Amino acid sequence: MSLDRRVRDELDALASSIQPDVEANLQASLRRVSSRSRRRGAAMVLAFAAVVVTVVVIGPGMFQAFRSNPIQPGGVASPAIERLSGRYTATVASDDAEILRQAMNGEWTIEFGDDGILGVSAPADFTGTRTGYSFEITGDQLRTDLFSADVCSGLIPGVYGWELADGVLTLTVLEDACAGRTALLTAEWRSTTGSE
Amino acid sequence: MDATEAEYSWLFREEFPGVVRTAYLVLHDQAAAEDVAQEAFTQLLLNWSKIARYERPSAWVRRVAIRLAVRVARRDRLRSTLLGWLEPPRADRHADLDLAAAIRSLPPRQRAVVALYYYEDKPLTEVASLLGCSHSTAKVHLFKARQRLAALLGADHRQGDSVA
Repeated sequence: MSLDRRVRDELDALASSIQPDVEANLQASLRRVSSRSRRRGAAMVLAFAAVVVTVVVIGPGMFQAFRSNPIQPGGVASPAIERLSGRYTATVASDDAEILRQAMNGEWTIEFGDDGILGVSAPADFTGTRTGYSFEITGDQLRTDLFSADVCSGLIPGVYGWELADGVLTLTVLEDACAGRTALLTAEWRSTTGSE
Repeated sequence: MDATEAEYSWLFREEFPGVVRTAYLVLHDQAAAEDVAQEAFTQLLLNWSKIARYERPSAWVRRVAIRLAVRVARRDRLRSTLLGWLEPPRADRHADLDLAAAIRSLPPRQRAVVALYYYEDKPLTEVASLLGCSHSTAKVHLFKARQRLAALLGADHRQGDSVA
């Protein structure tokens, strides 16, 4: 029997032995949706209230200034920065047009410093600027001006949600008009701090 | 029960077992597979107004589930590696232990390709689309998976399907 035939037959046998309780799962799924809808509703109310406060109290001018404010590295590292600080690597292998245009495929290393400096080590073919970038952390959000020198020139810093679990850093784009930065940062970053 | 919940429940009953089985072939853990499938269906209902207009909402939910499964499998694999111990062989009551163990030893993406290609009988183009990678990347994953399975099972990986 060929390998393919054997794999097909045995996967069929393996899978067909799995008989989930559909009704119990359906009810659990509906409960999950209901719970998340409530949370989402509450979050939207809070977000709306925050927007109203921002617009009314702080004013549109201040809001714009905040959005385009350059990131200022330095100062005392927050616990969040201390947790994130370290070196991470990711391998980018993508057909994404922006990645190909910027020759960004290959192995990347980024280093978040305690001082808010973001160091970058790029694949040899990447011709963009690799130094002079910074980042800041606010709660579960990370804001960075990575590639502001060329790839993201003229664009405001990007804002990402960040999560570090089991040595894997996951960055989720929240607001970023720069496709190249987004394509890179949303790769899977594995911590290499202490593994060298 | 409103119309949305009725349509959703119908789709859930039709598709959930299949989605769980595919996720199981990536995760090799029924509870984790059910959790992943449930999460995918939860996402579906939360975005129902948009997804229900798609030609095949079931394909959407399958894509979400398979990607979640790969993510969970990667996390589990990394955890095992970091802790420096391998999962003990499970008392798998179902099928050929050699094959189950051989598939479990594959990286998560290769496991997903194997499940979609061999179990779901998807063409490689669709496998690539479900995993969010290029056709050539999916082909490489399949080639490496076959090579590894052949080595572990003592078979010849050059015999069998002609993969285009």
